[in-house]
Amino acid sequence: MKRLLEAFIGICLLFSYGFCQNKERPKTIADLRIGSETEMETAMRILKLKGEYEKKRIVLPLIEKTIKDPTTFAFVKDLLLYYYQNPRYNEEDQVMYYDDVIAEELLKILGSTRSPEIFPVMLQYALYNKWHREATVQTAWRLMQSIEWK
Amino acid sequence: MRGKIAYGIVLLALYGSALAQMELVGSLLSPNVPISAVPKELKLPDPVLPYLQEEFNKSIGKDGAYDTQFKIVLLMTRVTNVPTKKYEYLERVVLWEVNSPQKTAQKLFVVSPDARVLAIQGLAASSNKAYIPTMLRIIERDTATKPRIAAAQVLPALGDRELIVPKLVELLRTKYGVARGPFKEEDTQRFEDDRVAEAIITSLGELGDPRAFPALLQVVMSPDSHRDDTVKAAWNAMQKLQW
Repeated sequence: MKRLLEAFIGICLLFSYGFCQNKERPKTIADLRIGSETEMETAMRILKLKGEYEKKRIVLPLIEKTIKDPTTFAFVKDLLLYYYQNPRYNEEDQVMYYDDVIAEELLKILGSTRSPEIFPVMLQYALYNKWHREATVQTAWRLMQSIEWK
Repeated sequence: MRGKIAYGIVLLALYGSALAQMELVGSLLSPNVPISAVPKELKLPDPVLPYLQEEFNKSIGKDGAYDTQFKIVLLMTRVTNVPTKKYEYLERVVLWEVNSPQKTAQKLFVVSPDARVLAIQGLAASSNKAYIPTMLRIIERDTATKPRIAAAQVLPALGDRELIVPKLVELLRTKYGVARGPFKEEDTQRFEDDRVAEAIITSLGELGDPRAFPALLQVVMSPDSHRDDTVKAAWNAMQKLQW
């Protein structure tokens, strides 16, 4: 009887451990928020991290929605120039690869403004092609062509 | 069968377009320069020039700088608005080594010779006589062979014989001529200089100015001072002089 009780408690512990492991993945920016952060502050914090592809995908729509705001525009430019340029880029490194996928998404968002101010960013990505995926470099060239010069 | 023919036609078309592109930028360029990296249809306005210059300055002395510099110069040539300041920027690139001959431990030149060749061809496209002294300065002072040859090749396109011929003749007699003594194939510097001499002679022939005759005669009369190709070029140039 004692053995049976011990086995039952053991199974219960295993179940509760498994339940903890299957904690729900974040789905919205609210799930990623720390303390009293605003949504934009959360997005900015997440996008500055290395890796964290899934979380970055969650915050990208907010960036896309607010890209015409000067603060967001300047922030994305800054991110692309100083956080996502990777001289040590290696296609086989999954973290670097997926960060570059995010860089391409950010380029597209920035490129959607067609502002001449994005030229230096596109130039950097187009010139230093070994620091990025081929797709990212091609996107930079394409977006450079789409700039509306005044 | 039809598929094979179509495949052949596609291959031929691809080869033709690649060849046309190479001809456009000249046969002097190294085979591995990243011409195809920049989209052919890309057109840029003057405001991009300061950014391009900034990137060019940053590239100096860095790993992979030659490719980057080549692409930057290619982008400078894609500035299409008129009037344009791109020629001022291209001239800066062309004269970079002459004006600031810094050398790094790893490389003999800090600016890619291919980028400078491209910039020289870009300047020549302006057909502006104001750049004749620049080209002559390159032939006289630059240490890389390709830019010197390119500068000599584009001079006839810039016109003005009065400015060009006397200086080329002087260079052919002194820096690139008999004054240097017998030619030795194993002397690399002399070999490279003689390639430049050949380009100068060809340009003199194209200009057709009879004032070049004594210098050309001196070349054919002293075959020990030059390569065979240079002497042949001098014979050809003499035939083209317009008396």
